[in-house]
Amino acid sequence: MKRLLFLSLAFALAFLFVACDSGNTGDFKITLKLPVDDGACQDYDEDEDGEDGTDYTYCINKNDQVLLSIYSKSEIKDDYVYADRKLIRVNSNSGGKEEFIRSLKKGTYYRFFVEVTNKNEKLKLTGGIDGVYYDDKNNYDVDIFLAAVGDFVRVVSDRQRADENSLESYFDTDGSKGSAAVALKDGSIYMAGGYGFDDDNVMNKAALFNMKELKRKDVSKLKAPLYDHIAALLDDGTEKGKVVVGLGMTEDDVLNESVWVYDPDSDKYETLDFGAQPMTKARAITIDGSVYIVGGCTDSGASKVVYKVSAGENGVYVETFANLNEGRCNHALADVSDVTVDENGVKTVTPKLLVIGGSTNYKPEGKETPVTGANFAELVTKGSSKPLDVADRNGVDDSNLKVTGLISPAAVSVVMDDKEENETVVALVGGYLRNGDSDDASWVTNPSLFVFSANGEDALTYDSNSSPNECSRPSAALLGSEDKSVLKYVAVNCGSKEIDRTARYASDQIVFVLQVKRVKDSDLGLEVFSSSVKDTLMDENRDRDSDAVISDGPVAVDGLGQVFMLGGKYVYQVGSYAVP
Amino acid sequence: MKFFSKLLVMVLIVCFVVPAYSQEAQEAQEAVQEQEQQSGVNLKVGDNFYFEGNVNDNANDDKEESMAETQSTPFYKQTWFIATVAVVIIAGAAVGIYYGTRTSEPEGKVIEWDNK
Repeated sequence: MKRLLFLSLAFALAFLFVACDSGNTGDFKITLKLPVDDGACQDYDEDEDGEDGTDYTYCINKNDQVLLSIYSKSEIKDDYVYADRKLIRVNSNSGGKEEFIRSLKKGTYYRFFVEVTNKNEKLKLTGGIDGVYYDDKNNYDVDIFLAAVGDFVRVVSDRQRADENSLESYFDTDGSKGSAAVALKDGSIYMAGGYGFDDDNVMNKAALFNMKELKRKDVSKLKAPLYDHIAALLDDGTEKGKVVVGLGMTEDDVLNESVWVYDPDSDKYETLDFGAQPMTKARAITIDGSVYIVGGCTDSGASKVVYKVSAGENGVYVETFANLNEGRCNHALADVSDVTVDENGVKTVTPKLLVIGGSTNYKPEGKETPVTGANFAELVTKGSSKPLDVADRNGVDDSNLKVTGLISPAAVSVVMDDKEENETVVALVGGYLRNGDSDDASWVTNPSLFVFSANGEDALTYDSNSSPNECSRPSAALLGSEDKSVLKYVAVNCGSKEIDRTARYASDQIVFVLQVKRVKDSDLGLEVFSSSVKDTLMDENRDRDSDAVISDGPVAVDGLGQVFMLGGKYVYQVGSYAVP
Repeated sequence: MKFFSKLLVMVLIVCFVVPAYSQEAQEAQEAVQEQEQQSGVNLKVGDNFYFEGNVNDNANDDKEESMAETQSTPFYKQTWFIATVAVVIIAGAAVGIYYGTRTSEPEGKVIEWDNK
């Protein structure tokens, strides 16, 4: 009888636990996190909107509209397809809560994208999250951080206490140089290495930023401290993908030859042994899931090799994709691949890489030998690389790029789809160039913004505009924008204007957004491309409240076209214009 | 609401289990008492039975008294104790489960923001 009693009790307890678990009924709560502001949101008066000078861009106010777009896919390898949409009209200044869908499908991956527009339908804030796997046995609580569209804001989880709740990197107020970052397929961001000015040392730290919870988690350290290294996403078909990270410098003048594959699931690094030379300031880019490592400076010169790292059924493998005509490092690299889609929707990518500028050695900044002449720009395809002539619209190199060279610029490929036929152009920003030929020639930070476009098979034409912000070692990424939009946007993590970075010349984190579009040149009587810095809400494109500085920092762009800026104390986000 | 339904289930379980055990325990106690009354030794023909010590020893009276004490039900087998423990366990589990898992919000698929 005693046994029966205890069995009954055990059964009762088990029953209670099962009953308790029935609370996980697949509830799904999305919390919109608003950017830091001055607390003015609740004082909003629709009759005085904008008249008193208060900017309500960072608020969700009465008469605003919140549009939540839902995309889904059942297999990780598939592309997202549109699933549903919910438009919410805001009727309160204090907040709101609404059901956005009756049900979500079990065993499905979801992408959510939020757009907030004001009463004049001006897009104010956007944000989204990718790769949320839904299983109706659990309850979900997901944060979506809303960033100002085309502007940058510090990511904060609780804006009432922004100073304590800003998403922080592992650098402190004195900033950093030479770190690397990349967004994983699930929207989280991996960041590794860098030289920290706080303790004046090269770091082996690595971190993952969970953008669903707005938290940072330190992960397994790099096998060696590194800066000026590469980091790029390798798509191996898994939910998060993997990161190819390596090369760079372990300390001043000590080059690293190792490349590792970081697996965010197991939090482990595996060495990728393919006989690379010790080298630094190589560039890496992801095209169609594979990682291309281009160039890099060695002890004796610069590498010409373009490696392709791919994930196959038998694991990760490396092959030589092509050889450059001239070895280089610290160059700009852009994806100008040909992409075709057949009638069955099958996409074919023919990889093409545009390499611009750089130097043939890694001497301290301002003492390098820039790549000049015919090989200033090269187009790399499988098995070959050819030099591209560069000139302005008048057919001359008016900016003297082939003479001065251009070291450490950032380049971003932009597909202009506003006309019947798509045209790929490359926006180029920042870098520094040599004035004169002698060793003691002066060096200046590039004052121009360039847009390169194809001029036949063997040449590039560039259009240039002056830049209000000069960046010696920027990084940049394309922001998501609507299809067929006449305006495209490039987010730039500017860093310092100073060329010398052996000392602490860092400045406030400067971020700006380039607006790339076609314009009519009345003098020439033809259409040209224009690149200009978009107006910003931030004071001179700086976060003066951060009290943190930066020499140069990386960017990471996720699958939603949201760009994240790192390298300083905080993480910054630029809101995209639409799901790309 | 979920909590109250859980609580109702627990009350039903307690109501079912504890009285059932109490009845069984009472029957068991009565059986022990009956056995005590019928205490003695049944010997089959041919069996030998030996007493140790002096049959007139008054100590045997103490031994019988001691055996009676040993056969009395210990407190942890008492109905009142087991019922109390059962109620405490179930109530504790209920409170723990409630506070550990209460998910009053959200219910359904909701999006919310706070402008404060």
